[in-house]
Amino acid sequence: MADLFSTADRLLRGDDEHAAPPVRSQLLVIAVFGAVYGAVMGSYGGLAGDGWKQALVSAIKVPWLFSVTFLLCLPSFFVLNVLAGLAGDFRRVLNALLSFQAIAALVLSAVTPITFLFNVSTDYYQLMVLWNGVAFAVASITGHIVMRRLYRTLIAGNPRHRLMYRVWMGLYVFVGIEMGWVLRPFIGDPNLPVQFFRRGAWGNAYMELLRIFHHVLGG
Amino acid sequence: MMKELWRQVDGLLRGRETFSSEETLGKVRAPQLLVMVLLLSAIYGLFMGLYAVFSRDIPEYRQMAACAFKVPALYVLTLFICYPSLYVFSTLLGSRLSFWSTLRLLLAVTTITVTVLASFGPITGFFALSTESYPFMKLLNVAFFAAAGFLGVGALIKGWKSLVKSQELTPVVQNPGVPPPIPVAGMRPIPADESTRQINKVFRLWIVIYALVGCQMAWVLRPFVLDSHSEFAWFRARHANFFTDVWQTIWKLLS
Repeated sequence: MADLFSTADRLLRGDDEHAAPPVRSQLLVIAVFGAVYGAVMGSYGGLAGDGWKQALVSAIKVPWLFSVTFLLCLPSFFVLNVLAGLAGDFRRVLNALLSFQAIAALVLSAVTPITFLFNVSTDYYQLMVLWNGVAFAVASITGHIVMRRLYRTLIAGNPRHRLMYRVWMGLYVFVGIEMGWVLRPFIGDPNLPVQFFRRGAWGNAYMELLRIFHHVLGG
Repeated sequence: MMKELWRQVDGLLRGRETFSSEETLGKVRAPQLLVMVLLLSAIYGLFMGLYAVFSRDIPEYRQMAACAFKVPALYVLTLFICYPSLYVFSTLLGSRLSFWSTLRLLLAVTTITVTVLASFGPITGFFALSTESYPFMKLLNVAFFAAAGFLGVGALIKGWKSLVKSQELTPVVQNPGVPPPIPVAGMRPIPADESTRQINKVFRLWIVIYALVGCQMAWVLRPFVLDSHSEFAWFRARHANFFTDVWQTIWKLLS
């Protein structure tokens, strides 16, 4: 436990890159702090009755969203890095990629009390959707800034890392959007039964976007 | 065994030195590379075939098997169709690369392409799992094949150039007993750098042909993704071509 917090602390300070926490403790940070936020987010409908199930489900889903997306993109990113002749730096690259997620999870857990306050004070589901969207956006942007900082030293060493950074963002966002879509519901509308995956949600976010686009254009 | 195979691939991905001269290229073990090409492309084929399993009510596992055969076939057949023309034309223009060296180079580059492709596999699998739209899957796969192809061709161009250059630097060993050829009056001997330029020109043209043959080969071997409304078949009847179909798919996706 103490180790977990000291890892979190070191990640937040992030001044000494060489003393970066090991991969395993970073993964632990992502799992634990992400789960904390997920549990609170999912408890919007209350914990009575079946409500606790949604909390549990969301606690699994939030770390899953980050880490499975990461795992899916990792093989291609590794091969591309090796092809670009950056294999020697991959340890540091991995550290930068992981710290994006760890920081995002930490930021999420930091705003957990606010989410909790909203949870107990409003019954307006749309507001919760909006607030959680904001929380995820803030967490991602913060993680992005930290990752960018770590990448800056890498780019200084070899400018090819700049291209690789863009490739990573492209891949990660492309897969992450779909992953977030597939994993709905995160919050759990209290008027709907608790479920791990929403019925009929098993679709493609991009196709959905195209459909909305067509609808707006009157197609 | 597996470790040894992977070491070969890893060396290819990392090292430019493999392509620095014919000698280093000679160290590449062609049979091992061939095994890796077959294996890695089959892995991608399995991920590709997942769409046919998840997109329909009755899962079509045969499509996974079909893809695991078709993707390797696509690469190997394209290579063997295009290889003779590259060898003949570059040798005609004065390239000194031997038959086996040229083949090794192409095999090495195919390995790079297929490794990139296989590494996209998990993403393809994930989208196959969650997507119902057939045009989307088709275009996603085309995009991944294209990305892998471009990276492979990039490596090929680099390797080819350094090989041809290394050939230029090593002088031809003259048999001491034979007098140097007497220049025939009126016939200008082709200088080395001009010959290299011509070889490179032919090579670029060949890459275009290689890409076209690859696309058409993919078309011959279809279906890869398998539309959820159509029956399983190992092959389809002759009809249209790759490019019109991609164009129509983009249209279908947008309308």
